[in-house]
Order: sequence, then structure tokens, then C-alpha cells
Amino acid sequence: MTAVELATASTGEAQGQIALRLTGLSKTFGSARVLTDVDLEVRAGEIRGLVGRNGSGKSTLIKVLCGYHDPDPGAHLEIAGRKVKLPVGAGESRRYGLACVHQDLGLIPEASVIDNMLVGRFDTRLGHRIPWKQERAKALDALERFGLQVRPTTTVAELRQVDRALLAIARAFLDVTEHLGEPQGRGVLILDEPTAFLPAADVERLFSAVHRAAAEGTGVIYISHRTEEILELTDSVSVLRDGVLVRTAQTGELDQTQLVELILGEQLENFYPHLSSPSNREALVVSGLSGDLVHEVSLSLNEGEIVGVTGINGAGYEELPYLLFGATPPRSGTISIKGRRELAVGFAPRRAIRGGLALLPADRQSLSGAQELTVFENVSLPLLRRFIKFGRISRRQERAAVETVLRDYAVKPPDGKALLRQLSGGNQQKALLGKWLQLQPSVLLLHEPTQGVDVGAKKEIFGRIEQAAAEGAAVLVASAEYEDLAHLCHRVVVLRDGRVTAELIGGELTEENIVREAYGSERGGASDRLVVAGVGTAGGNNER
Amino acid sequence: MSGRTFGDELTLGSTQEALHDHGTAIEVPPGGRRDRQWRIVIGDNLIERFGLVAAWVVMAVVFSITVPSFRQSGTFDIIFGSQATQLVVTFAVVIVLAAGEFDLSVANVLGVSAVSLVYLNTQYHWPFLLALVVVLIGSIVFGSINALITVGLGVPSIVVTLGTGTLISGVADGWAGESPIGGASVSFVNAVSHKFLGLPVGFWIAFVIGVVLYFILEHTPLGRHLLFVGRSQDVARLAGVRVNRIRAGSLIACSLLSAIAGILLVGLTGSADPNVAASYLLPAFAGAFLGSTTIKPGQFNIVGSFIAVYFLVTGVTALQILGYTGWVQDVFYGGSLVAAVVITQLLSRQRARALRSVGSGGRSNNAGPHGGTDPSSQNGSVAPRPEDIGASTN
Repeated sequence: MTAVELATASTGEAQGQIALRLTGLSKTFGSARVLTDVDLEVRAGEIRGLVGRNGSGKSTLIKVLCGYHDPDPGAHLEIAGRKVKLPVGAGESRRYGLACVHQDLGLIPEASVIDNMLVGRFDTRLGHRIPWKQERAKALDALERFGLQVRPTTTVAELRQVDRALLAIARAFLDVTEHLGEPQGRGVLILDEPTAFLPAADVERLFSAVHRAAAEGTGVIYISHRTEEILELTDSVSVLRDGVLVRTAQTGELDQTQLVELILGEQLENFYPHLSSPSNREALVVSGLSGDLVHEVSLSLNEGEIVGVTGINGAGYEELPYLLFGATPPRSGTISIKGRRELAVGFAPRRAIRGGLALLPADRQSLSGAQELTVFENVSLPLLRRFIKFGRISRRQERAAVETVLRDYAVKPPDGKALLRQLSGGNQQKALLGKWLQLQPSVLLLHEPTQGVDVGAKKEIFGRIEQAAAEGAAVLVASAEYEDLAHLCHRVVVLRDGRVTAELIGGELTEENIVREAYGSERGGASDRLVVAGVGTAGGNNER
Repeated sequence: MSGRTFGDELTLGSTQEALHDHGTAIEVPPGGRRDRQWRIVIGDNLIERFGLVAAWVVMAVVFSITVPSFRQSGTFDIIFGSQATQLVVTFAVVIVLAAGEFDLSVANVLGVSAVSLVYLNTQYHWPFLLALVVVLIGSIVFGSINALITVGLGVPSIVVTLGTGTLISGVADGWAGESPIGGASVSFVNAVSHKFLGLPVGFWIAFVIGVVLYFILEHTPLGRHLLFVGRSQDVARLAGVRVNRIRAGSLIACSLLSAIAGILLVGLTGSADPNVAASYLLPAFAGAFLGSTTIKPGQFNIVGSFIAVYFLVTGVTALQILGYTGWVQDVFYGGSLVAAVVITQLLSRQRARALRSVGSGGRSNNAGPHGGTDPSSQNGSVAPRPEDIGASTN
């Protein structure tokens, strides 16, 4: 079936059918009311975006649906026309035709693709014979339909992240449809930030899998912080704010600004900071830098300048901050910071820091912060020496310095004793950015600085980056968030196959141009990327 | 013992999840169970931090009441005074575990140091001080070899030290024989065994070492760096910490401390017995891991291990007074080590579950496409943390 046929089929059979109907859902923890009287209705074949800031209640809502939390009395849930008794019961939801794919996907890395598809799908009752052959065929069929082109015996650990996500979706889809059976419809699939781990180039493959599920009549609830994804993928969108579902709208009626404003609940005057002009003194000069991905890259950053480096996944932009910082040893090349020449080879992070560089990696989990240690310990790590008094760390000075950072960066809660992992992604990122900026680096290297943070925190982080630049730091942002780069940067350098292929500045610096240069053709525009990827855009996207 | 702590912890799942949902922004009101759980989450929980201390006190009181001879002052002396050697080895293990490495050679180094000291002194007639200095230097050389293989070549320290420790014990047995050697410098023995404030000087030496290590770990940048290296070598390296130097340093310090423990053993007993050394290994690890469940739960810490050592020896001593000897020590130490790692594992699983269930974006995710461009994680070191000790030995 082609995309269009599928889409028609889905609208035909799913017309009017309700996949999920939830009414009167409230949830309180202690005296804190987290969800207030939420009603949610998703039709079969509909892709519904669910958005809201951190703490708006999205995840609580999802956890109630999946049975991790018990709702307050008075809520009603119907899935595929059947009443479901609340609370659902942990792990029971798939039996009712509702499956949730979390960020971590819940796959067994050491097991093969096919085993992951089949695991947990059967009763283990004695004497209950499993029709293995039949099940296997069904699983293989689902895998193929969801665009997973790998050998079924490959282990999950060998798969690329996007293929793992597709596998998890295929499995969830198979589960809910199996349990419901044909007449009841195709159940509900909840996707909780499935793209958070994915490079931009792979997102389209995931999208077509989502469209595939919807085209088969499954109702999809799609959660993401990335508003552009919501706009691109979903048919309709529900906005949660402070535990109240404030609005459900057709996605087509909204533009990016309106959506962001709905999420924030306030006018979005200036999402991106106003840029002050850079000086003409060079802060960082890189010449002939080569690593695993980049070849002979040369570029320079002026003081106060924000420069984006970008491209498609694997183009090498993502390697640059690490090479410059000495975190990944470069093969060759030289860099000089404020006129001092440093050989890039053999350059270690320790010397980079002393030379005035700071690096905030994308990977908060294992590179930029120690999750199991406190916010205090994490934030003060690079400047412990400053607090030494009589041979020991002065806890008072350390505390004062860290608390200043937490306050300045509006980290919530401003409690240094909390473990880093107890903070939300956005707050972690603010604290970790503050950790580096308190050193007042002359060059700030950032890799995906707003990955996995909510819209509000994103705005604050952009503000901080601009502020650092205004105070004289040169900022290098390696990112595939083309739109953000277009607004945040003075200049954007595009890499393709490890080489600098374009430099966009002034009027040329637009999202469309970045996309075009990154992909290396006349293709442009976010929604066209779906076509570019060539996986077939099943479902409603083109119709919209 | 810490059964209570443990039970409380097991119930905290749901609130922790709630906490994550809301980026810790929700206020949970005082009173009721949720409030208590809230505090556990924050890490302020007194039961968790001082559970072992309480258990120790309770045990001491119970034994004092039920076992008459336990009350005699001699018992107190035995319990406190006899543990100098054990304390120092345990500290050695704490340091190396905190840095994310393993050292299984501590007991071997202890034994070999003790034997060498006495043997050089008595058979070779070296001046006592010279022998002592040579033993200390020898332990540093030994630790450096461990460090070189572990850090330089990237072989997991657990394997390296298992091999080097056995090797050096074998060499020492071949050189000095396998039977106990007596006749160590009398003035040294007298000095170490001399009672000061009611306890042998040996104990006070161990105590001072503990205080110094506590100060370094808790109050200096070096200690903080060690903590980060133990938790995440990458984070530490990217913050400018000299990770390899710290890993190597911890292994060397561990060997040096083990040698000091051996020297103390000579001072306290007047002889060196190659056969008893091995009995220090398990209690040292039991003490370190049990210690990581208290004072600063989830972290290997000196004060906690100090308490743990005494908790363990109090139990063993009381049981010995009751007439259970020999095997009871193994049962008690072995059981405690298992209990300690089980508790930490369960605690961390609880935490991990809460972490996994963090909702949209609350979760700090990972990596992105190329977060992993970092080369340093390739050294195949087995990193022991209190919480993932279960997984670390594979």
C-alpha cells in the first residue's frame, strides 16, 4: 500500500471510533494536586501531541494511564470502547490495548530483535502451547511494516538507536492490537519523547513508523519537548499547564509561536535573545583540525561572537567541541586561544580549561555531570581551588558560590544538597551551564545545549548564552537544531562529510538555508525533510 | 541490624517518582508517611544515615545485658584495641573503592610487609628503622606496579591485584618460609602496644590515619576529585581532573596503607604470621561496603567504615564470648558483606527505578547523537560503586 492508500484506509475504518476516552482524572500527591479534572479523547488513527512544561503533569498523566500511579477516585477510562477499571495496575495496560514506549524503550540489549518482539507476549501457563511459527511470522511482518530493515537475529545492542525505537514501537503496536482483536480497533500507543535520543536525520524514520501505526487505526499520544516535531507530526495537540488541560487544538490551526505561548501560558515576546554585536578581536583560531569525522577544519571565533556549527548527523560538527577541548584527541591541527598558540594534538581538557575553554557536552547523564552526586559537588568541581582556606575547602565559601549560581540561573529547586539526578533536565542543564560560566571562559563550547529541556528552560539557557557572549566570551554551539541556530547565532558554519561547506551570516542565516546546506541540495524546509528521507510519509502529513 | 532502614527505603518508589514528575517543585506537606519518604529522597534521613550506629549501640547494650562477661572492661579494650590493623586495611580498601578501583592484594601486602619487617630485622640484622622504611618503599613500588598495569595498560584492577597479590605472597613464602616469625624489635612492640588513654598506641595511629584520610576525602579538592573519578571518570576528566593520576594514586595509597597495617600488626603481636594475613581481606571489604550504607549512604566513607569495623567486631567478639569460635567469624563477616551489598543494591535499584520513570524531559537524557565521542571510557576498568557492585564483577 502506498502512503495515500493507507491514509485513506485509516480514515475510512477509523472514522468516529474513539481509541481512548478519559474523563475526570485528578491526581494528588499529599496535598499537592498535580492533575485537575483532565478529560482526554483520542480518536482511532489520530496522532495527538501532548505538550507542557516540566511539572505540568504530562508524565503523571501517562503514568496513571500505564498503571504506575493510582488516580484519585472519580476518573473514568475507556479504551477502544471498553471500560477499563481504574487503577489500571502496573504492567496491565497492554492487556487493555494501551502501550507506552518510554525513552528507555524497555528492550533487552543482549537479546535478538525477534526475541525482543516475542518476549513477554505469552502466558506461561502450563500446557499452553505457543504457536511459535505463527507468532514469529507476525512479528517479522510487523517489523517490516514499521520500517526496520535488519536481520531478526541481530542483537538489540548492535542496532542503531533509531532502529531500537522502531523495534519498541512495532512491539508495542503488536501487543495492543493482539490483545484487542480486530473488532475493537487498534488500541492506543503512547510515545514518551521517543526522539530525545535520536539525531535529527533519523527522526523521519520514526515519524513514518508513527504514521504507520496511526494509519492502521491506532490512536497515538505523542509527547515531546520539540514543538517543531509536534507541529510536523501530529493531527491535534493537547496542552497541559499546571495540571490542567488548558486546550486541545487542531495542529494545523497553530504556528510555532502560538504553540509555545500555549505551553508557557504567556506571551512570547522574545523567545530568542537579542544579540549584541561581537568585537573584532579573535578569541579562538582553529586551523587544519582533523579528527575521526572532521578533516582539515579551519575557523575562527571573535570575542562576543556566537557561532553555530551544524550539519547532518555524522557530518562532523558534533565532534568539533570535543576536539577543541581535547576530550577527543585530534589527529592534527592547531588552535590558538587569544593569540596563544597551542598544538591541538596532545591537548588535554585540563590544559584547555586553563587556557580559558569550557565545554558543556550534550550527554548530561555521563559526561557533563555526575548524577549521583549533589548539585553542590557538581557545580563547584571545576573551581574547588578557589575555596581553599587553611588547606581545606571552605564549605561556607563553596556553598555561597554555588548558591549564587543556582539563584542566578534560576535553578529549581535552588537546593544544592539535592542529587543532580533529582533535578529535571532543564534545571540540570542550567546548573551545569552555570558551573562552566562561573569560570568566565574566553571560549565556551556547547554541544546540543537545549537537548531534552522544556521550552521555558530553553529560553533561559539561550539568554545565558547570549549574556556570556555579551560579556566577551566566544561561543561555539554544535547543534542540529537548525531553527535555534538561525536565531541564536551570529554566524553558522555548516559541515558536510567532515569539511566546512558553507558559512551563513547576516541575511543568509535562515533555517531554510542551513537545512539546504546541511543536506547539500536544493531541498529545504522542515516538513520536506520527511520526503527527503525517502521512507514514505504514510499518514496524514501530506494531507494537512 | 539495619532492617528498619531497609524497610523504609523499599516503600519509597511512588513518591520519588512524583518528585521527578515535578522537578522537585511540588511541596509535600509535613506529617504522614509521605513526608518521611520525602526526606529520604533528599538524603537527610537520619535512619538511613545513622541506622548502623544505632544498630551497633543496640547490639552492644543487648550483649551487655545478656552476656555478663561482655560488660567487663577487658572486653572494651579487646574490641577497640585489637582493631588497629583491621581499621587501616579497611581504610585502604575505602580509598581504592572510592576511586572506582578494586584492590584484592591488601591482605597479601599486609602479610608480606609484616613478614619482611621481622625477617629483615631478625635474620638479616638490618636496623629496625631501615627495615621499616624499606618495607614502606616496597609497598609503594608494589602499588605502582598495580597502577601501571591497571591505568597504563587498562587491565581491570580487580584482576591485576588478585594476581600481583598472590604472586607477592608466594614470593615471600619462598623467601622467608611459611611459618610465623617472632622476635621483632622489642622497643617497637612496646611502643605500639603502650596504652595511651586506655588504648594501645597502635589504635591511636590507626585513628590518626583515619582522621587524615577523612580530612582528605571530605575537605580537600583531592578528595572531591577522587569522588568524581569514582563516580564518573569522564565527568572528572572533562572538568580538568587528572583521572589517571588519581586512579594510580589510590592504588599506591592502598598498598602503602596495607603495609602500614602490617607493620602495626607486628607492633601489636610481636610477630609476623603469613597465615593470618588472609583473614583481613574479607572484613576489610565487609567494613568498606557496610560503611557505605551509613553516614554518607551510597558513598564509601571513612567514618562509616570505622563504625562498620566496630559493628562487625562487636558482634564477633560477643559471639566468641558466648563460646562460638572460629567459624562464627566467617559466618558473621561473610553474612555482613552480603547484607551490605544487598542493601546498597536494593537502595540503588529503588533510585534507578525512580530515575527511569522520570517523565518527559525531567529525565536528563543522554547523549544525543555524539555524546559518546569520548575516548576515555574505553579503559576496561571495573568500577566498583556501592550500588552497582553486583554488576561490576562480571
